[in-house]
Amino acid sequence: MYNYPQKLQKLINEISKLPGIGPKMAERVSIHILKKDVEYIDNFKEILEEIKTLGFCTICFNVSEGPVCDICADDGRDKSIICVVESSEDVITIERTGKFRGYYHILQGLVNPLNNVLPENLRIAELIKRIGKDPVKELILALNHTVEGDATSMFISAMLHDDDNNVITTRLAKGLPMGSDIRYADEITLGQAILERKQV
Amino acid sequence: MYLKSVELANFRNYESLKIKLMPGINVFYGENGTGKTNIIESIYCTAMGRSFRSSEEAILVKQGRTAFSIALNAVENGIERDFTVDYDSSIRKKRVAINGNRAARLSQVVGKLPVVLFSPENIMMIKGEPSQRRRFLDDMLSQFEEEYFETLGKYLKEVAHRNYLLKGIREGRVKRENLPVWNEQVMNNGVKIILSRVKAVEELNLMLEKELASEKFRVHIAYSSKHYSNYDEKALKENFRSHFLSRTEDEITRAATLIGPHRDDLEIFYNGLDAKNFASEGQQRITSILIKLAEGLLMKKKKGSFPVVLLDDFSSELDEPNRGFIGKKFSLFKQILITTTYRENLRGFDPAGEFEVAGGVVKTK
Repeated sequence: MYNYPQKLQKLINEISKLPGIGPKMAERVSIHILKKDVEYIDNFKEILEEIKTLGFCTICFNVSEGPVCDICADDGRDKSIICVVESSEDVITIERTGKFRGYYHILQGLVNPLNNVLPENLRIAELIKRIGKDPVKELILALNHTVEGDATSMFISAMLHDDDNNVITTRLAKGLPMGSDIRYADEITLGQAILERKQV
Repeated sequence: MYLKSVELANFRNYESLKIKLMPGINVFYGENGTGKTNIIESIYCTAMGRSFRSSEEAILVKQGRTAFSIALNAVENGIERDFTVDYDSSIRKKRVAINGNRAARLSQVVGKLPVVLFSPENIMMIKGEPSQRRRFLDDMLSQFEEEYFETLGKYLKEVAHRNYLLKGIREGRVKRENLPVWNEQVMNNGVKIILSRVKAVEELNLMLEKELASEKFRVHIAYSSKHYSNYDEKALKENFRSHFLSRTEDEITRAATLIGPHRDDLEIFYNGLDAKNFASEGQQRITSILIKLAEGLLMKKKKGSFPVVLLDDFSSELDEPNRGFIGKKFSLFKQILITTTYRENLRGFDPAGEFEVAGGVVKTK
């Protein structure tokens, strides 16, 4: 049976290992790259080469060019509050809201025993250490409302509790999306929004 | 609620099918292997998000094709709603939509088109393993409450995580300090599920006593567990906590969570006797039909609308007087779809629509 030349097969195979990309999409992307000129590929190679110099912030574990990321280096933020997120993408998402002026802590994952991710594989110990040092009053756990997000939140609040400090932990509210019509909201979300209602 | 039309494309043995259904009884008859059950299956799939015959969606695609689609038109109080399912096996993606609005989660669809399925396998609810009885309750409750469906999904995942941790502890890879958080999660969602199930069993019993009991048959169900008998939230949590305190060693050895709704069962009684061990095959069949009828009536009460009754492979196994009794009970519903090999099996029924099925072709009679 005919198949692609081996070099192309190698590329398809590598691309299909990327998250969210299946074999069909990998084929499409590979053929697309193949059609481009040499300049494009050289440029691409260079970009890949450059990201080798990137690392993680030693304080919050966000992606960073140097040992301390731009956010941690910014002295003008609110030191009393840390927002705990799963990954660097979440930092960008929350920054875009413009509603948060504290610092972040990136766990680099969620507790997930079935995938062999345990609390010690995450940056939880570093978080606890930070709290001991900084004048932190509140931790916002901005983690997904999933089994793994719930478990991670419980681990963190349990560890804080053990440490006997005065930090309060909060989780993001579950509720209605903006501009949504309550008639079209699903029952679970609407139910949560009723439970977590606020005085106006 | 009743279905007005069913359209299939490349589903099982149907390349393309469009039929109009009537309120009342719709009968599909034809020889075995002609595709009668496939029609029922397509409706069940749309209502429940999965088949009752296979957990593998790709199997539902017609041989030699890569995608199937189902489109149902349902009427409730004069309002028509379109339910569609599109599955593409090349990307393994399924889209479910109501009136063209795609559902983000399956829980948003399950229960919107209430159905009750009667199939020959129902008898396994009496004869079979505890898992089959749990499945009966879970399928019913998932249609009643969106939240039950979500909680059950979460709970089963939590148990899987916890079991894997137990295995890790046994193999010395994982520290025991990991357990308490998962104990708490399993307990919280587990108790929610048990409480919902116990309430549903009470409501089923009420239906069985009030609407379905006769001099000849009395059916009763009881929720049963090895670990708890007091179905009060506080007492249940107490049971879980003391279990986790005393049985963890055993759980580690077996790498299994030994308490919780995933290990519970139902006891089913026919005229006061344990139906599994003391009822005849015929009595077991009647018992399972009465329980399913109770499910249908309860669904009507909960949803405020009639579920569509799917009666797969209605056979002549029931003797004449029993058939009369059961037939009368079925007339409590608004629409019933029945498949059977011979028209004669339905003596005493008065069909509103009749369809002859042969080799992937359905003829309206």
